[in-house]
Amino acid sequence: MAALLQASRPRVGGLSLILVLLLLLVDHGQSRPINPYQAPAPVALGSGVAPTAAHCTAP
Amino acid sequence: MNLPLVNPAPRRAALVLLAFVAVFLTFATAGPRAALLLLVGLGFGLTLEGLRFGFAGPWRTLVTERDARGLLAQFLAIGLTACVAMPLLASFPTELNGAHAPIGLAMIVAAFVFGAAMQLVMGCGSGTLVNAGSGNAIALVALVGFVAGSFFGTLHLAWWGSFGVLPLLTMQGQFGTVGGLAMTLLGLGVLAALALQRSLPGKRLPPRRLWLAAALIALLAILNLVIAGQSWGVVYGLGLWGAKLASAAGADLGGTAFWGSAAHAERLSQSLLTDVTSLTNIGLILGAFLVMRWRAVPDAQVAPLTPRSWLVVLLAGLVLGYSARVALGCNVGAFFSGVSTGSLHGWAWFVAAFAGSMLGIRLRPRLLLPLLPADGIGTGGGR
Repeated sequence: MAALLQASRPRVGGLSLILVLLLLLVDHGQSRPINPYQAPAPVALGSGVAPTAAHCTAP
Repeated sequence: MNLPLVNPAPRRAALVLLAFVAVFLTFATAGPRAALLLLVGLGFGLTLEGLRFGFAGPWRTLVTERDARGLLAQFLAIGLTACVAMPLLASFPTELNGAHAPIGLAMIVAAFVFGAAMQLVMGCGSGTLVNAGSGNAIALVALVGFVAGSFFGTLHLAWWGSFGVLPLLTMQGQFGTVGGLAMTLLGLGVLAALALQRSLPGKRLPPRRLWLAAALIALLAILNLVIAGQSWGVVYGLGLWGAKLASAAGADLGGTAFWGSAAHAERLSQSLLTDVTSLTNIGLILGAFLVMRWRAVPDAQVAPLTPRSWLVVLLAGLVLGYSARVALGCNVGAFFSGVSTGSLHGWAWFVAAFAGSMLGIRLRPRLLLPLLPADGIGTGGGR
């Protein structure tokens, strides 16, 4: 913790990115593989498909 | 102090390459929509950090310095977004979702708590991400707490929701599309007038960078809606990150009311690269990092803290995340996106969170000052 406190902004910012990468690696190990043939249309508007993504306002 | 002159060109070229690689890998792995959403998140991060646009800081400066400029820029961004988002939602109701949620007792109390906590860590939902990406050590610790708190909030969300909840109310539902937009703009105008009345001369007209930032944030929020089919949000992604880590640690979340439901179970089983808010959150962190490293001389690190202060920051982050989840959103999902898409809960959230923010401003020196140097806690730009 003390080392984090004394680290420069570039180092702390870099650490943030490393943590995100680690999260993605953990996620990759436990999530279903992404099926590229089932990828959604590039843009929801005009796709004719109702959005299924989650949002913080949804209980 | 004389700093050695270093040619920034190689570093900046590497930063551009880093952004390109991130977007390309996302495109190759998860498809074009994911890549576009990462780009939108990058845009948010670049704008918020590059133009120093924030939420928590302007709320504080209105109270403590009678400076309304940052808050007015927020209202401008929300108003601009509403002018496009609300007609779009009316025209494409099956393809686009607004950030609509009911007003509830727990939601209001949680928004109040969120407002207080965000003044303690000097960052809201988006601000914590941006500050962490830009190398602010306090924000990184708060972000860890935020992720954990958001996740814990999902475990109790149904229980909190059992306390007095009104039916879903929207401006469009009450006044029609045009009337709802007019009422939203009128409401923002009233708030702006109140802020102007509170502010001192010379602290009323936003500088050019904030006008630009407001326009860019509005543009990016509209792109978020058009690409994702839903409004800009932050908290869901962070709660999902916590759930992913808990699952990796062996927790069985299938039995919980939240993660056991079909929609959230699907998110939990799918890659984060398919989750809208995770993608924009990652983009926010990366964009802020790029701006920080682009600068010739990065901002100074925050002032040293004692171990007890670190604990306060971590706990405040935890409360921030938990309360944001119970409040059905943070400054982004509930306030910015809620108000700009017509949800009345966004207005209730703002009133409660602003009141909590005033408490947080008072609490901050009491909780942190004895643990800090005389010049106070360095924030590196509270957002």
